[in-house]
Amino acid sequence: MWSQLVTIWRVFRHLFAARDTVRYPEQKPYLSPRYRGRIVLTRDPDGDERCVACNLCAVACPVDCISLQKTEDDDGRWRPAFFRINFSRCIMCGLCEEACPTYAIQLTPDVEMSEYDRNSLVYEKEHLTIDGQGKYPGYSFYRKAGISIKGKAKGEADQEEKPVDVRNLLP
Amino acid sequence: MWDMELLLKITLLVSTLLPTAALLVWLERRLLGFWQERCGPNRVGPFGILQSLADLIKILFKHDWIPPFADKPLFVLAPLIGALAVMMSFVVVPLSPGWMISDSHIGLLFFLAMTSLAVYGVLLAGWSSNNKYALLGGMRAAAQTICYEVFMGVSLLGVVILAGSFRLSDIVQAQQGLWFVIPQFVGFVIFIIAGIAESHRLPFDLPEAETELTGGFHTEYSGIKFALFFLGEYLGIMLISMMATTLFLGGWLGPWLPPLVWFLLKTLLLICFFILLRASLPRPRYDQLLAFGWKWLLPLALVNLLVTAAIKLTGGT
Amino acid sequence: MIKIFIDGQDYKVIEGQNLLQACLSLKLNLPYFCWHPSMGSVGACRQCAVTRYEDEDDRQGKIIIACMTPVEEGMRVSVKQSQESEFREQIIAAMMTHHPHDCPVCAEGGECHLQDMTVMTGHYARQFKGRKTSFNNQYLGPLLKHEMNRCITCYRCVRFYRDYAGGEDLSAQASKNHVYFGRQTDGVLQSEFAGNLAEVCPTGVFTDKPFGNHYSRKWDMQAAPSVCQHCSVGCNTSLSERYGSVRRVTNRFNAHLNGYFLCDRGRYGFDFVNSPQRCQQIRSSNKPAQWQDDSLQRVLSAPGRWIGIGSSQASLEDNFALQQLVGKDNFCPDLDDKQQSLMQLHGEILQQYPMASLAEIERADAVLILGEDINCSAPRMALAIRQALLNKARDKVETLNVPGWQDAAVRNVLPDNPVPLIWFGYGESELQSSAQLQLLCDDHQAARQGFALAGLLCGHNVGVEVSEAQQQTRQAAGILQKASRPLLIGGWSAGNPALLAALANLRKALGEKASMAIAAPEHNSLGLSVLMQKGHLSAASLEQSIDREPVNLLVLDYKSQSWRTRMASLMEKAKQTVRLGLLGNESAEEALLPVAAFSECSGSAVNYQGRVQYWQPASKASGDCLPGWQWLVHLAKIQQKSLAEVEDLGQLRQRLMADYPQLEGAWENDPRQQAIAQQPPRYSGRTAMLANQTVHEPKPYAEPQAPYRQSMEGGEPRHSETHAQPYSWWPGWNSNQSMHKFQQEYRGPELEQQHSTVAFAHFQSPGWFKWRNQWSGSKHRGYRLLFLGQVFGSDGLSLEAPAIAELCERAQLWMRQDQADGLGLKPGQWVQCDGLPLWLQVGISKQVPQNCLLAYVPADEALPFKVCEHFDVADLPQAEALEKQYRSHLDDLKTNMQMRQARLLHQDEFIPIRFVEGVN
Repeated sequence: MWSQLVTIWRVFRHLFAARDTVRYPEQKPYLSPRYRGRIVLTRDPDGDERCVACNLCAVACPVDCISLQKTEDDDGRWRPAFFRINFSRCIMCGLCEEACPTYAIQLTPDVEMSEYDRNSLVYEKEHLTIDGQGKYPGYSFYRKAGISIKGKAKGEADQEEKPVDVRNLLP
Repeated sequence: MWDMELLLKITLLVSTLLPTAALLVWLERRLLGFWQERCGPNRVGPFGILQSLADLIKILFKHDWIPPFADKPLFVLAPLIGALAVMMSFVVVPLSPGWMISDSHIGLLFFLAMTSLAVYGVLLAGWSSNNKYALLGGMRAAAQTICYEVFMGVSLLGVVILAGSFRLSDIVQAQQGLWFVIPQFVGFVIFIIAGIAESHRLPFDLPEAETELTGGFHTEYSGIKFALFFLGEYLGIMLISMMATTLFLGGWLGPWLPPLVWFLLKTLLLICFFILLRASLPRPRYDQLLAFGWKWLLPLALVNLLVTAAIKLTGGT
Repeated sequence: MIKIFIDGQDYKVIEGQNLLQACLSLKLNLPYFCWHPSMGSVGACRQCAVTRYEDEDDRQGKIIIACMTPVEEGMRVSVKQSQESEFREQIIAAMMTHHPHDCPVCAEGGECHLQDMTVMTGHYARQFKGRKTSFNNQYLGPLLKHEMNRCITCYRCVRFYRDYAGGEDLSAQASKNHVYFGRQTDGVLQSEFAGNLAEVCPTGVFTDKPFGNHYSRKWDMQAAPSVCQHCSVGCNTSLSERYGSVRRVTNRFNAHLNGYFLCDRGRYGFDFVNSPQRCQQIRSSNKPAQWQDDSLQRVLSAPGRWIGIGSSQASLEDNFALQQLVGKDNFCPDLDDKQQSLMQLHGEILQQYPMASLAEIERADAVLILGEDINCSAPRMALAIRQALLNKARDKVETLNVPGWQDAAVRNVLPDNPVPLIWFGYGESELQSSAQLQLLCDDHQAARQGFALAGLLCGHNVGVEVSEAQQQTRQAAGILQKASRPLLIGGWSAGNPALLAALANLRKALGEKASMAIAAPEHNSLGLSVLMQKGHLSAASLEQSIDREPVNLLVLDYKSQSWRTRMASLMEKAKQTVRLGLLGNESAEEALLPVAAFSECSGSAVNYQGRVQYWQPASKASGDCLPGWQWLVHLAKIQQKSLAEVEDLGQLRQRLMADYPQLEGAWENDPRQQAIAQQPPRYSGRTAMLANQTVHEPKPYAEPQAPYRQSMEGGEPRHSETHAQPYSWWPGWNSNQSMHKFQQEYRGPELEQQHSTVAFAHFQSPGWFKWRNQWSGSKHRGYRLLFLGQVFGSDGLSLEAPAIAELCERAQLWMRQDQADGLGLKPGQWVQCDGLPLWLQVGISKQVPQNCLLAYVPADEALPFKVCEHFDVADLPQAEALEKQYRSHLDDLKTNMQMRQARLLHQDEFIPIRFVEGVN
């Protein structure tokens, strides 16, 4: 019983405490760069799309709001033929960013994306892709991967030997 | 044949009660905001005072939906019973010496009878919705009301013994010297607790406990019918506060200010206290609630009654 | 059953198994790479290490390799202690030192056995700081993609390709860290089972190329249990769908039929369902139309006689609905006279003898192939026959106290312990070349020798004088008599009923110890045979009826050029024709109703054994398509026939069972059956895939009464006796290797009962078939043409799959060198037969019988003649024109493939949603 009374008293005292909330949108709170807001697709240092359409973001998404289809271009790179995020379903949990093996998908501190029409919250690849590298500058997935793409033949990746000559049996 | 003055008073009372209830919603939300270190509704009108009006307009335009599986007549009737029973009780509330619609000599009994009727609204709503959550909510409401009604009545008997009348204006007059909250402190506490339970406000809102029963008895309600339940709840708070003021806090009595202002001030304070309770106390478990009622409050109320009666009989003041 | 102790717990396991298999069938997690249930153990990868203890007091133990150790009574091992766990992790760590950082761009990712095993061992970070080895890849044809960097040298690919499937052009090259699995040079892998490498390879060295071009992760694909549509074996497959298009076919384990492997025609041929040739729209007089159109309704309600032409490529239900609609006397199967007599005889034989399952075929210890091109007509059966050839070697090692799953040991003694394979027939093929006893003859001769052989075996003449028997036939009699489980193989490909009769006589002569399998031409040929038991309109009387009175034709679609030629002549004479079309939009019928493909609706087929198998839809029909039977029900409503009362497939099947009581129980219909989810638990993109068209999510689709749901609602895939699982999965086992955890034993000494319904009641007591005069070959001038098939080319449906079309060879004519010299032809030249427009390329082969030539014609061409007198040789400009034509054909294929790819990608983005269900 005593604890209930103390509780009532403590809650009452909050009447005189300063408010934690701000009067958004007149006042805007500070959001750190790693805040989880609108999702973007970044590019690698060469300016090519980083996304390789591996589908890991889609499978990590707890509300299944990412869908994409892989296609392969003549240069050997994997790309999404389309990449769609339905932001009307997105809960900004950031699991897609954690799952992404190429740092392609990143969350930004932009949270102001309300719309009157739910259809306007469906973002396609051209709406998501930005020109920069985002939070992880300098990383290029294809420099690490074993597959060959245009401009990087077998054996030219980081930490890779030249291709083996299978006719050679010398030790 | 018609007492024009009475009719005028009734109209005036009803037309003030309804906006006041709406205002109360705003007041509650603002206060909860402050206690939780936020602003609360502050956009519509000055200080957000028109928020309730906006909500009202919205709720009126909502789809007035009756589920196909519901018992239609009862489903419509239930919110009306709920709201009307509470409003009927205001008939006997003495706002000030000149401001009472009926100064009945059994005013207190009428109040008790009306609050008991209010539970039918909830019960019928739960039943007619034909939904398991609603039914559970309705059953809880019934059990809770039966349990708390008993000692609510018993706790008030102390006041009646002291005042020697069931007439509410007599009870107020009897507090000229000393407000009954002092000799009847135990009765006061029990009445407040029972009152919260009666109007199923937090922390005793088990009939609509949204964390376990989605919406309890009003799960299936929407639009204007839901608004009626809402109205009933806030009128209930006002009613309990007014009755507590009348019975224990000396009603309109007080120096300097006009009686009506004194009455409203005391009532407002109690209402704020109710809201504070909501902000600070968690909801008890259903069995805890009933055990607390039957095992603690009822014996306590009986003891209070016995002691009061004994003192009165032995000639104490 | 014997008792062993694993980690102190006692288990009962089957005697004779190896420890790895025992652990897996106990559902314990033990990583492995090189072992495969149907390929045995070689102990190459050292991954399945466990510790073995001498007795209860032994705390030390020693590490052994589980797949090389037979289980023994009272054996004590541990699989979870730190020493073997660390050992296994070190093995993985060593393999991963050179494994590329490819998973996100690897088509195996998400169903990779290597990923699963790495997670299982707990290895997570590469410690090795050196450089990774890299390899150049090879072009291996349109079916498989090669990415050698990912190899972990488990040797499974060469063991499957060379040892199991008999391929020769894939080998292990180089040594140590440089071991390379590939061909001598770039080129198409020759074996028709090469596609299995995608499933056999535990990682992404060999991946499915057409699937990779239109790729989706396994976890994203809605799968359905299905049945292959490309030959009469009816291999069980799993169809996978994403964004409304079917992506790939994978093997679905069936212990009695396909086991773990499919042929490439079955694996890649499904792609016809995505063909741009698919009928999508109702057409009336070759113009798009609506169901309500008066002109269409007039055609459909036309008075007069309606004749229905069934299809051996359509489901049993569709054909039955057609039979119900037009009446059995107006129901004509899609066969010509010759095929009808084959069908008749085949039906009779099925009523007398049971047919061997592939599992039984693999147990044979002597095989006779009688005039059948089994490599083409039922490739998976040919692979099963190949496995039978190991049986003597396996028996031999077991007499030496070596378990039969010790694959290397078995292969070692194989040359000295061959299973006799007897080949009576013509043409070169994989099995022919491994035959021990061969008789080169045409189909008549083969049939007569078969009759004579039966006579030799039973001791009296059976239709044909025993004295006709040739030297080889007498040898064969000796071999078959000695064998304890002889196997007889035949089929329709020579088009000669006498061969089937000969087989039946042989079967009777050999008695119960023998088993038999007869391959039918299409996946549901025998379904038609079942329906014909109630009577039918024969091909000859069809022609007569059409000539006599104006009739309306109602045709179920069929995809082969020779059939179309025949249909065209019928249509000319008919009053009007309504086609329930699957493929081909431009055509001359009065009305075309588009039907759903097998991937879009349920259906059943009767396989070569006479067993009813049914499939489930992986996707929904788009456009105006409806299942064939549903169109027929709508037609019945217009024509006010009793079929109109049928509301769903269940009711149609009820009627089917009422008419054909032997089909009772063919379809599981248990209302208490828990729903089975066709989408994996991690199916992604549900709320986004349609969002560009509508933000409202449509209701999940399920066929009425079927337990399969095209959603995530329902049970996870588990091994079920009654209901086939849409895809294979087990916690921690995302690859198809999860299947291996379910088996107690794969094709062990005891075969289980097959659980499907046989559509042919065995009621006739077997009798001898007499030789009929019409079977004897007629005298003719010139050369008789014997038709040969190709795995890629002879099946019309699969030619609509671009990858198969690319492998389809041009028409060919084989002859012996002396014949070529006589005709003045040289190999490689192009010739025409008797002035027909079709050009054939001359090839030289030793396997051509006297007075005959062998011809192969792809299914999209037709060569109606059986006898040919003179040949016109293409001159130089003509040959050049032909080459040019072929090159432009290949270019067209390539462009078509790109256009198709673009169309499919567009369809992925804008999924065709059918908001309004069907026509009512």
